[in-house]
Amino acid sequence: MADRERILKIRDLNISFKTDNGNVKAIRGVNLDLYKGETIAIVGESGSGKSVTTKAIMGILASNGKIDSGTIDYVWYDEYTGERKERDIVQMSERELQKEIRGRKIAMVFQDPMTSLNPTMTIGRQVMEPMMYHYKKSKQEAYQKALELLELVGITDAEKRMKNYPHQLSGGMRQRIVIAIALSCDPYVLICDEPTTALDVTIQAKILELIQEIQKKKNLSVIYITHDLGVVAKVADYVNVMYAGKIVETGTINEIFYDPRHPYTWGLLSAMPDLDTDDDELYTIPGTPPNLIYEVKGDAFAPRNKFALNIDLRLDPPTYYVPGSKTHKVSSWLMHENAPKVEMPEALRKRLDKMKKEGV
Amino acid sequence: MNKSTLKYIGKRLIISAITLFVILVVLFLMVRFLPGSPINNEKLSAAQRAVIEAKYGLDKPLFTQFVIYVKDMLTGNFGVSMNLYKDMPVASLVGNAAKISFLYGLAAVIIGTIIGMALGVFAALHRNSIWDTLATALSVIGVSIPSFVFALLILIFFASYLRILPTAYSSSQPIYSSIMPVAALSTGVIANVSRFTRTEMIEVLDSDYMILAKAKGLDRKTLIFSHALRNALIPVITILGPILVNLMTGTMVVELLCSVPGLGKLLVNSILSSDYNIILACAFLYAAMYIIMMLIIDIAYGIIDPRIRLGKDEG
Repeated sequence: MADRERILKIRDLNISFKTDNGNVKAIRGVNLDLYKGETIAIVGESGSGKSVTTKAIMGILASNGKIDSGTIDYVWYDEYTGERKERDIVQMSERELQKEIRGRKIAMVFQDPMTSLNPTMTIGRQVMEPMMYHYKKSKQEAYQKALELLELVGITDAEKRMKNYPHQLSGGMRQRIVIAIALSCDPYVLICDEPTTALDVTIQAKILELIQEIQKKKNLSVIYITHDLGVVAKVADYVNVMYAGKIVETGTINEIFYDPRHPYTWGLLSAMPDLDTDDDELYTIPGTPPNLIYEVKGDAFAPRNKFALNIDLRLDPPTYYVPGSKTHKVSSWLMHENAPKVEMPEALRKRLDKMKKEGV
Repeated sequence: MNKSTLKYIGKRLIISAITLFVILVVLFLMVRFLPGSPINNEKLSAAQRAVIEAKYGLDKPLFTQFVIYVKDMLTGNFGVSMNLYKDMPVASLVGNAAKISFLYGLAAVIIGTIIGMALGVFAALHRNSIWDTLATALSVIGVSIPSFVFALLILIFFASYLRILPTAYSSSQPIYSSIMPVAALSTGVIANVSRFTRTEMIEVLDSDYMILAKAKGLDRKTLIFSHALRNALIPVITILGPILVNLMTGTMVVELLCSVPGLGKLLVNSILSSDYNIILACAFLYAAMYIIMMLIIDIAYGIIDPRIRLGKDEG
């Protein structure tokens, strides 16, 4: 993996939102890396800051949101000269973001295809619009490319569909259109914000396969945001587990699924339904995520964590590398050399061993 | 148009016709039972009075009078003025007055809609800023103060104090002398349309498809003009019909204040002089306008919105 090329590097990102009830610190020191052609997943509960992080990358935070500190370095090669360029997205002006980044270099697929297309604009116009806007393509060129894109995302009858309005298509079709729009300007990074959550199960797999297929064809880097570990297992190379605005554990897919270290990751994996659990009830992580209006003292997960140490209540744990790995990092005091040795719950151990054996 | 749409329209037409007939009966009775009589010249002797009553058919039994009235009406004859404009045909009197009222209403709606939409969009784009508060305050004032109060204020300021506008309508300067009443009438429209537009626009700006459009990397101008406006303004069209009708029926006081020879002024004057046929025709026209507008809105609603219009060739 010597020739891995990093195209996105987020360091110590802090984002807060001004609300009527006070300042919500939604993102608290996030570090994230994305390499060319690879797929990372960000997993976590609702409200853990997954979407906010990616919206910050696109520069489309809600108007009451603000990046307090941190950097989002983006590397690309100039379209004409091939020169390597690196810019901090946080420092970019709104106009630069709009002209250079959004849609053009980083594109996004949204969660709910039923509401994310403009109801009074034809499909064709919505797909053609970004190309005509960013690359000044003529209508004919854009039309031709839009047809190709619709075929690429598996839409039959593309010519007829170009003239349709969104309400005339099914949810799965609309998500394909959203993907086509995202691909229209040949971006380098594709952010998929829960792309299959709003779709029914039979369509989910198809959309995931489609994204993977296109990723291979176009050598895209993909960021998945999801709370569905099943999706993660299927598509991701690297997994970032996020909790209360922080990434608590990161590693390759094998490291996270077969050797999870953070109690929160244990909880997430235990809460995943599978076919051969004997228990009557599905495991749920007790409690709820903290309200980030209040400052978090110590480890944010400590109140819900039965393995929490005393120090967890006082000090935020640093990030440790798991011994013997260059990719597996955990933010937990349990990783400290003086910490008591805590093993993951027995039931989870068995489950993961079984998964490993079956090679899921 | 398919069969069920036609059937629906047919049903609506029949219901509207029945409603109009009931209204006509009630109006006819109410007018006849009004205190006073169109023949109110005290110098007339009983014999002279009887002659005049016979001339207008007022001596016949009530039911017969009604039958004659309806028969005449169906041929387009609304009778003649009994008192106010001696023996002039009511149809042309009311027709001329309605034309002026309609033009006033239309002008107020057009001006009010344009200004109202602009104000609403402006407020939505500057949401929660001082401009938004200002625009909202303006529209609240516009909604809560009746248009005749505005007419009075404008009258006092522009006509009486500054003396740049005439106080009354004059047929020699129809446009110039209409500025004031139209301005007064449009305040209500501006207020209603701007509040409605603001709400719609904010909803659109917060919608998922606007976030997607922003994620495409479009600039603010393109976002607003080619993505947001159309979606925000379509619903506004649906409130314009009722606003127009409300305006036409609500112009009475403004018309009186500014001496506009419109329907409102005619109706008020005819009531004052118990001119049965004019009262009936004016009131009936108001009712008919309202009912026809409701009918048009119901039918048009499905035609304006592309989601309903285009839904048919689906699947």
